[in-house]
Amino acid sequence: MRTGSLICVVDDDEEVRDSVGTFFRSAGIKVVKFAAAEELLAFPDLATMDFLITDLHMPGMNGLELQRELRRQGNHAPVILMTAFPTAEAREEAKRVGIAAFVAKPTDPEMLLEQVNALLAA
Amino acid sequence: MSVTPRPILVALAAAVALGVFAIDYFSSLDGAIAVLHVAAILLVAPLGRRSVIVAGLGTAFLTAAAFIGDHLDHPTEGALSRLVVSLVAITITTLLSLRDRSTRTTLGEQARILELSHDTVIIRDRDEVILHWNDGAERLYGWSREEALGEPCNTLLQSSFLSAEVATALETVGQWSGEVIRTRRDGTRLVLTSRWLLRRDPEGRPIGVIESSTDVTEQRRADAERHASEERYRTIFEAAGFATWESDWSQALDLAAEGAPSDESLEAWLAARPEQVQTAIGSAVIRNVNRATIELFGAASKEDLIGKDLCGCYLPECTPEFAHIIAVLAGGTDTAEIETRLRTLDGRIADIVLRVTVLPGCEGWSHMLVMAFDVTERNEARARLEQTSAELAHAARISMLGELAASIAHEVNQPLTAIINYGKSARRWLARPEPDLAELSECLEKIISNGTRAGDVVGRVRSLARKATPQTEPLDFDDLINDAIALIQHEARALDVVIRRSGKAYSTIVGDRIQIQQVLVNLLMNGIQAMRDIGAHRRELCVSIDASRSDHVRVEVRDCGTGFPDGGAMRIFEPFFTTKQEGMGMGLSICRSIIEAQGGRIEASNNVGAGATVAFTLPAVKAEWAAEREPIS
Repeated sequence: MRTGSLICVVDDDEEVRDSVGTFFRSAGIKVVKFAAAEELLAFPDLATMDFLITDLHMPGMNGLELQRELRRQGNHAPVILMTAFPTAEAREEAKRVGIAAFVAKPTDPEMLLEQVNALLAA
Repeated sequence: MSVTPRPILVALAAAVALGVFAIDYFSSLDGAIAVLHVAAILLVAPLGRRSVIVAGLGTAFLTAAAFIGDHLDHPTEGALSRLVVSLVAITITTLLSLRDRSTRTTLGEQARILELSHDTVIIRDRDEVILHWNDGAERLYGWSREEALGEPCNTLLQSSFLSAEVATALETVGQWSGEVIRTRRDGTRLVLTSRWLLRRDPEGRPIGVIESSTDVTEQRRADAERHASEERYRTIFEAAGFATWESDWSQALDLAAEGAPSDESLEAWLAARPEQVQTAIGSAVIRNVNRATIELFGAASKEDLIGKDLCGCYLPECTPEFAHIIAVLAGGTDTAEIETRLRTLDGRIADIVLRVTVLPGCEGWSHMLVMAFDVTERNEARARLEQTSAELAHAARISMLGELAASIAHEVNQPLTAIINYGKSARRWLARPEPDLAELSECLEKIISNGTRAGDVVGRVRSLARKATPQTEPLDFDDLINDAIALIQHEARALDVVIRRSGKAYSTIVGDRIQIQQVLVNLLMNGIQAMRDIGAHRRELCVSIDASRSDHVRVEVRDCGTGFPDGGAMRIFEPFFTTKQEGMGMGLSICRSIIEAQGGRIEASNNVGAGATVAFTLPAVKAEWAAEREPIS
């Protein structure tokens, strides 16, 4: 894995967000955390983001809309979508818009890490 | 009767006396001329005692004077004997006149008594012809004396009586008394009690009847009416659809209050002495019962109850209620009511409302009217209804939790996700060549706090899902609202609804925590769902508490949604009325039942701007009630 990769986490739930951050930190990966999609979009270093892990359901802009917005802005960083409601429609939509991975909560962070590593290695 | 005026009689008597004196004195007639003075005495006799005495003394004086003037100088034996004869005649006449006067007075008074009598007095001859007719007869029968005298009595008054019995009685004992029916002049029938006496001549031959009668028409009518009234009330008593009986409680008060101090409430004093209350109740004896009482007690006949006490029927645990009755009645109130239970003669336990009334005019508590309403069926129906309502409310809560399932799963999943992340982080910190114990400790703390968070969610769900008999307890309303909001928080977030709270419940509310929370969650959910289709408009759900009134607390849930369709605000509490496509229409109907069962009200209206408001009130409880029930810490 490349050192110095910029991984962003967006989740409106503080505990989930912090725990994801803590896990990646324990794995030696630094993450930047955001409470809402809008906050990420306002992040000055957004262009250098290597990877995004985001919640699907959030007040304001949701995870899918965020992905669309990033693509629209020309940002093609891979996106992992987490959700507590893994409905077929959501899964279909995620596939359609080119989400890298769709995971159901509670998520296994080790798996998340594997996927991040695999995607970053690709 | 014509009466000669007094002065004329006096003058006449004086003239006679002086004439006799003149003849006696001046003539030489050889006879007891002075004897003629008796004429003067007889003339003044009707004028009274004094006139008779004056006339007697005056004429005696004139007789003596004539004798002295004429014969004193040569008294002969003949003259002296004539003087003596004359004086004796005058004396006898005077005395007879005085006695005659007294007899007349007595007779006159007796006649007046007959007239004064309120009763009718009629004297008839052998042929029933009326000879005497007093004022009482005039007044009662309406015929004047002039009209009645000489008429045959039975024809005039259309008398009706037991003639054979009367004839026999008069013949054998000379009198009869009994009832006679007669007709007044105006045709009114009269009932009289009459007493008849046979009149006899000095030789003892019957010459007619004297009768005295009293009008008892009104009395007979009143008697008949009283009798009819008694019959009527007896029928009402007998036919009453509820059990009622009359008891003698004469000894109950004495037995109950024996030794009671005057400075303490009798009820409280009795409450501490159940055996004394039972003794008092046991002293009450049933005088009479109606048909419904026989049915209530499962008795075979009245005899099973009359003369008995109900000691075995009243259950020992109901003694405080009887202490209340005795205390209330002893306090001077004439009616007391309790709800109690009794065991009937056939062993059934009945819930009854017992009302005891002291009958007016009775000595002590000698006549008490007891009414018993069997409310067993009503209580059973009420209990069934309460149970059904509780079950329905529970079913609605389960259904509501079903609607919230996705939110609940999310609320549990979030802390679980965090727990797993922290757990796996901890393993990594530990697996490092140099374990980072500070990070490890941090992770463990987070695992604990997130575990607690998940536990809270489960706790809230479980409490709402619990099937419990409704309980009344003091509630922390702010807590209740926070919990309700926590349950629907995710639902709100998913629809971008912001929840705002205002106000605080200062008063204590008592009620069933689970059911009131159910109402709150239901209203919040409805508010959120009403804003699902309003596009990009502001989505706010305001929960406000108004505790400004001392008697109740009002909770308002105001949304900015689509509002109710026309007339919907009135109907949304009806069962099966719904504005949602997937709704059953039972939620608000159950909310209304819950709120009303706890003494509150619920109402809904469209807002002036967008959306609708549903508000409910719950009665606030007096501070001392709440204090009494607050746990001792």
